[in-house]
Amino acid sequence: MEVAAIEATQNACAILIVDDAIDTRTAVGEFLRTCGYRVFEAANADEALALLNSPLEIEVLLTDVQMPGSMNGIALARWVRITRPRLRVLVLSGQDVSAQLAGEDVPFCSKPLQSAALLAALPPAATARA
Amino acid sequence: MSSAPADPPGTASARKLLFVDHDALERSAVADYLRECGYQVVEAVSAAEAQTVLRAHADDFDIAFVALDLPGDTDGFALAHWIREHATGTRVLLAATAEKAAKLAGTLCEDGPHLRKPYETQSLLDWIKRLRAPKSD
Repeated sequence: MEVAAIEATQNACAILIVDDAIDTRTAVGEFLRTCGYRVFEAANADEALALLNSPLEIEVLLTDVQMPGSMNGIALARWVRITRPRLRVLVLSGQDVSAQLAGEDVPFCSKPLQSAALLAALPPAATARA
Repeated sequence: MSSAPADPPGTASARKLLFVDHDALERSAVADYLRECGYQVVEAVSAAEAQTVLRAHADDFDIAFVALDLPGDTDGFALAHWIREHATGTRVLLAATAEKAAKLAGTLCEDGPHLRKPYETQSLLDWIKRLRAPKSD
Protein backbone atom coordinates (compact mmCIF):
# COMPACT_ATOMS: atom_id res chain seq x y z
CA MET A 1 0.00 0.00 0.00
CA GLU A 2 1.32 3.45 -0.86
CA VAL A 3 2.28 5.86 1.88
CA ALA A 4 -0.48 8.28 0.92
CA ALA A 5 -3.04 5.48 1.03
CA ILE A 6 -1.89 4.36 4.48
CA GLU A 7 -2.01 7.92 5.79
CA ALA A 8 -5.49 8.32 4.31
CA THR A 9 -6.62 5.13 6.03
CA GLN A 10 -5.19 6.17 9.37
CA ASN A 11 -6.88 9.56 9.13
CA ALA A 12 -10.17 8.17 7.87
CA CYS A 13 -13.36 8.26 9.86
CA ALA A 14 -13.32 5.20 12.13
CA ILE A 15 -16.47 3.09 12.24
CA LEU A 16 -17.24 0.20 14.56
CA ILE A 17 -19.71 -2.29 13.13
CA VAL A 18 -21.36 -4.66 15.59
CA ASP A 19 -23.15 -7.68 14.18
CA ASP A 20 -23.13 -11.34 15.14
CA ALA A 21 -23.73 -12.38 11.52
CA ILE A 22 -20.29 -12.68 9.96
CA ASP A 23 -21.57 -12.42 6.41
CA THR A 24 -23.32 -9.12 7.09
CA ARG A 25 -20.49 -7.78 9.24
CA THR A 26 -17.89 -8.65 6.62
CA ALA A 27 -19.89 -7.38 3.66
CA VAL A 28 -20.71 -4.04 5.26
CA GLY A 29 -17.16 -3.69 6.53
CA GLU A 30 -15.62 -4.36 3.13
CA PHE A 31 -18.04 -1.98 1.46
CA LEU A 32 -17.26 0.82 3.89
CA ARG A 33 -13.51 0.23 3.55
CA THR A 34 -13.80 0.58 -0.20
CA CYS A 35 -15.56 3.89 0.49
CA GLY A 36 -12.53 5.08 2.46
CA TYR A 37 -13.59 4.41 6.03
CA ARG A 38 -11.47 2.72 8.64
CA VAL A 39 -13.66 -0.09 9.94
CA PHE A 40 -13.38 -2.15 13.10
CA GLU A 41 -15.57 -5.17 13.74
CA ALA A 42 -17.27 -6.65 16.79
CA ALA A 43 -19.48 -9.71 16.96
CA ASN A 44 -21.49 -8.60 19.99
CA ALA A 45 -21.92 -5.77 22.47
CA ASP A 46 -19.23 -7.11 24.80
CA GLU A 47 -16.62 -6.96 22.05
CA ALA A 48 -17.92 -3.52 21.11
CA LEU A 49 -17.47 -2.29 24.68
CA ALA A 50 -13.90 -3.58 24.72
CA LEU A 51 -13.12 -1.63 21.56
CA LEU A 52 -15.03 1.49 22.66
CA ASN A 53 -13.14 1.48 25.97
CA SER A 54 -9.81 1.20 24.18
CA PRO A 55 -7.90 4.22 22.88
CA LEU A 56 -9.26 3.65 19.38
CA GLU A 57 -10.90 6.84 18.18
CA ILE A 58 -14.18 5.35 17.05
CA GLU A 59 -16.42 8.03 15.60
CA VAL A 60 -19.45 6.06 14.45
CA LEU A 61 -21.13 2.96 15.84
CA LEU A 62 -23.21 0.80 13.53
CA THR A 63 -25.02 -1.87 15.46
CA ASP A 64 -27.38 -4.69 14.72
CA VAL A 65 -30.24 -5.16 17.17
CA GLN A 66 -30.56 -8.87 17.87
CA MET A 67 -27.27 -10.17 19.22
CA PRO A 68 -26.15 -12.61 21.90
CA GLY A 69 -24.25 -11.34 24.91
CA SER A 70 -24.87 -8.92 27.72
CA MET A 71 -26.74 -6.34 25.63
CA ASN A 72 -28.68 -6.18 22.42
CA GLY A 73 -28.11 -3.37 19.93
CA ILE A 74 -30.77 -1.10 21.45
CA ALA A 75 -29.18 -1.32 24.89
CA LEU A 76 -25.75 -0.79 23.38
CA ALA A 77 -27.00 2.31 21.54
CA ARG A 78 -28.47 3.68 24.77
CA TRP A 79 -25.22 3.00 26.63
CA VAL A 80 -23.25 4.84 23.97
CA ARG A 81 -25.63 7.81 23.96
CA ILE A 82 -25.10 8.18 27.70
CA THR A 83 -21.38 7.49 27.97
CA ARG A 84 -20.14 8.67 24.56
CA PRO A 85 -22.49 11.52 23.58
CA ARG A 86 -20.16 12.68 20.79
CA LEU A 87 -20.12 9.29 19.12
CA ARG A 88 -22.62 8.91 16.31
CA VAL A 89 -24.85 5.85 16.50
CA LEU A 90 -26.77 4.15 13.74
CA VAL A 91 -28.92 1.10 14.40
CA LEU A 92 -29.28 -1.49 11.65
CA SER A 93 -32.37 -3.64 11.74
CA GLY A 94 -34.58 -5.75 9.59
CA GLN A 95 -37.52 -4.61 11.67
CA ASP A 96 -38.90 -1.20 12.45
CA VAL A 97 -37.33 -0.44 15.83
CA SER A 98 -38.22 3.24 15.88
CA ALA A 99 -40.59 2.64 18.79
CA GLN A 100 -37.80 1.07 20.83
CA LEU A 101 -35.60 4.04 20.00
CA ALA A 102 -38.24 6.65 20.80
CA GLY A 103 -36.64 9.60 22.57
CA GLU A 104 -33.13 8.26 22.02
CA ASP A 105 -32.23 10.43 19.03
CA VAL A 106 -30.71 7.38 17.35
CA PRO A 107 -31.46 6.87 13.66
CA PHE A 108 -31.80 3.45 12.11
CA CYS A 109 -31.23 1.94 8.70
CA SER A 110 -33.45 -0.84 7.47
CA LYS A 111 -32.01 -4.18 6.44
CA PRO A 112 -31.32 -5.25 3.81
CA LEU A 113 -29.05 -2.25 3.70
CA GLN A 114 -29.05 0.08 0.74
CA SER A 115 -25.59 1.45 0.12
CA ALA A 116 -26.77 4.96 -0.70
CA ALA A 117 -28.92 5.16 2.42
CA LEU A 118 -26.09 3.86 4.56
CA LEU A 119 -23.58 6.35 3.19
CA ALA A 120 -26.09 9.19 3.54
CA ALA A 121 -26.33 8.43 7.25
CA LEU A 122 -22.57 8.55 7.77
CA PRO A 123 -20.13 11.43 8.03
CA PRO A 124 -17.60 11.77 5.20
CA ALA A 125 -14.92 9.09 5.13
CA ALA A 126 -12.12 11.62 5.32
CA THR A 127 -12.45 13.58 8.52
CA ALA A 128 -10.10 16.10 10.00
CA ARG A 129 -9.59 15.21 13.63
CA ALA A 130 -9.18 18.00 16.11
CA MET B 1 6.02 -24.01 6.94
CA SER B 2 6.71 -21.01 4.78
CA SER B 3 5.07 -17.84 6.04
CA ALA B 4 5.40 -15.87 2.82
CA PRO B 5 2.09 -15.13 1.13
CA ALA B 6 1.39 -16.80 -2.21
CA ASP B 7 1.00 -13.41 -3.88
CA PRO B 8 2.16 -10.00 -2.81
CA PRO B 9 -0.61 -8.20 -0.93
CA GLY B 10 -2.45 -5.60 -2.89
CA THR B 11 -1.99 -7.37 -6.19
CA ALA B 12 -4.90 -8.45 -8.31
CA SER B 13 -4.09 -12.11 -7.80
CA ALA B 14 -3.74 -11.89 -4.05
CA ARG B 15 -6.52 -13.58 -2.16
CA LYS B 16 -7.98 -12.93 1.25
CA LEU B 17 -6.65 -13.72 4.70
CA LEU B 18 -9.00 -15.20 7.29
CA PHE B 19 -8.16 -14.04 10.81
CA VAL B 20 -9.72 -16.11 13.59
CA ASP B 21 -9.41 -14.81 17.14
CA HIS B 22 -11.99 -14.27 19.88
CA ASP B 23 -10.03 -11.43 21.50
CA ALA B 24 -11.54 -8.31 19.95
CA LEU B 25 -8.62 -6.04 20.79
CA GLU B 26 -5.90 -8.30 19.46
CA ARG B 27 -7.96 -9.27 16.44
CA SER B 28 -8.73 -5.65 15.57
CA ALA B 29 -5.12 -4.52 16.01
CA VAL B 30 -3.61 -7.29 13.92
CA ALA B 31 -6.34 -7.20 11.26
CA ASP B 32 -6.02 -3.42 10.94
CA TYR B 33 -2.26 -3.80 10.62
CA LEU B 34 -2.58 -6.48 7.96
CA ARG B 35 -5.02 -4.28 6.01
CA GLU B 36 -2.45 -1.51 6.08
CA CYS B 37 -0.09 -4.07 4.56
CA GLY B 38 -2.53 -4.45 1.67
CA TYR B 39 -4.27 -7.66 2.64
CA GLN B 40 -7.99 -8.09 2.46
CA VAL B 41 -8.81 -9.53 5.88
CA VAL B 42 -11.97 -11.28 7.01
CA GLU B 43 -12.37 -11.44 10.77
CA ALA B 44 -13.94 -14.43 12.50
CA VAL B 45 -14.48 -14.57 16.24
CA SER B 46 -14.88 -18.33 16.53
CA ALA B 47 -14.22 -21.61 14.77
CA ALA B 48 -17.91 -21.73 13.86
CA GLU B 49 -17.69 -18.39 12.06
CA ALA B 50 -14.50 -19.46 10.31
CA GLN B 51 -16.14 -22.66 9.14
CA THR B 52 -19.15 -20.72 7.88
CA VAL B 53 -16.92 -18.49 5.80
CA LEU B 54 -14.74 -21.30 4.47
CA ARG B 55 -17.70 -23.54 3.58
CA ALA B 56 -18.97 -20.77 1.32
CA HIS B 57 -15.75 -19.21 0.10
CA ALA B 58 -12.81 -21.59 0.69
CA ASP B 59 -11.22 -20.72 -2.64
CA ASP B 60 -11.02 -17.06 -1.66
CA PHE B 61 -8.54 -17.59 1.14
CA ASP B 62 -4.78 -18.16 0.87
CA ILE B 63 -4.13 -18.12 4.57
CA ALA B 64 -6.08 -18.71 7.76
CA PHE B 65 -4.52 -17.08 10.78
CA VAL B 66 -5.89 -19.05 13.76
CA ALA B 67 -5.55 -18.38 17.50
CA LEU B 68 -5.16 -21.58 19.47
CA ASP B 69 -7.36 -20.62 22.39
CA LEU B 70 -10.68 -20.32 20.61
CA PRO B 71 -13.79 -20.72 22.78
CA GLY B 72 -16.33 -23.47 22.24
CA ASP B 73 -16.02 -27.08 21.19
CA THR B 74 -13.54 -26.38 18.40
CA ASP B 75 -10.25 -24.85 19.47
CA GLY B 76 -7.50 -23.64 17.18
CA PHE B 77 -5.91 -27.06 16.75
CA ALA B 78 -9.23 -28.63 15.84
CA LEU B 79 -10.02 -25.79 13.44
CA ALA B 80 -6.62 -26.21 11.78
CA HIS B 81 -7.36 -29.91 11.24
CA TRP B 82 -10.77 -29.04 9.82
CA ILE B 83 -9.29 -26.47 7.44
CA ARG B 84 -6.69 -28.94 6.19
CA GLU B 85 -9.48 -31.39 5.42
CA HIS B 86 -12.08 -29.03 4.01
CA ALA B 87 -10.14 -26.06 2.62
CA THR B 88 -7.04 -27.66 1.19
CA GLY B 89 -5.94 -24.53 -0.62
CA THR B 90 -5.80 -22.52 2.59
CA ARG B 91 -2.62 -22.59 4.64
CA VAL B 92 -2.94 -22.30 8.40
CA LEU B 93 -0.84 -20.13 10.68
CA LEU B 94 -1.41 -20.91 14.35
CA ALA B 95 -0.83 -18.26 16.99
CA ALA B 96 -0.71 -19.10 20.70
CA THR B 97 -0.01 -15.69 22.18
CA ALA B 98 -0.26 -12.04 21.23
CA GLU B 99 3.51 -12.04 20.77
CA LYS B 100 3.27 -14.99 18.41
CA ALA B 101 0.42 -13.37 16.50
CA ALA B 102 2.37 -10.13 16.17
CA LYS B 103 5.45 -11.98 14.96
CA LEU B 104 3.47 -13.90 12.35
CA ALA B 105 1.70 -10.75 11.19
CA GLY B 106 5.03 -8.97 10.96
CA THR B 107 6.37 -11.78 8.81
CA LEU B 108 3.35 -11.58 6.51
CA CYS B 109 3.91 -7.84 6.23
CA GLU B 110 7.58 -8.01 5.45
CA ASP B 111 6.96 -5.81 2.42
CA GLY B 112 4.91 -3.21 4.22
CA PRO B 113 3.35 -1.09 5.48
CA HIS B 114 5.70 1.62 4.38
CA LEU B 115 4.56 4.50 6.54
CA ARG B 116 7.00 3.84 9.36
CA LYS B 117 10.04 1.85 8.38
CA PRO B 118 10.93 -0.47 9.78
CA TYR B 119 7.42 -1.33 10.99
CA GLU B 120 8.57 -3.83 13.55
CA THR B 121 6.40 -6.39 15.24
CA GLN B 122 7.20 -4.69 18.52
CA SER B 123 5.17 -1.77 17.25
CA LEU B 124 2.25 -4.09 16.76
CA LEU B 125 2.67 -5.51 20.25
CA ASP B 126 2.85 -2.01 21.67
CA TRP B 127 -0.32 -1.19 19.78
CA ILE B 128 -2.11 -4.16 21.31
CA LYS B 129 -0.93 -3.09 24.76
CA ARG B 130 -2.18 0.45 24.14
CA LEU B 131 -5.56 -0.89 23.08
CA ARG B 132 -5.71 -2.93 26.28
CA ALA B 133 -4.94 0.14 28.39
CA PRO B 134 -7.95 1.90 29.92
CA LYS B 135 -9.33 4.78 27.91
CA SER B 136 -7.89 8.04 29.19
CA ASP B 137 -11.01 10.21 28.89
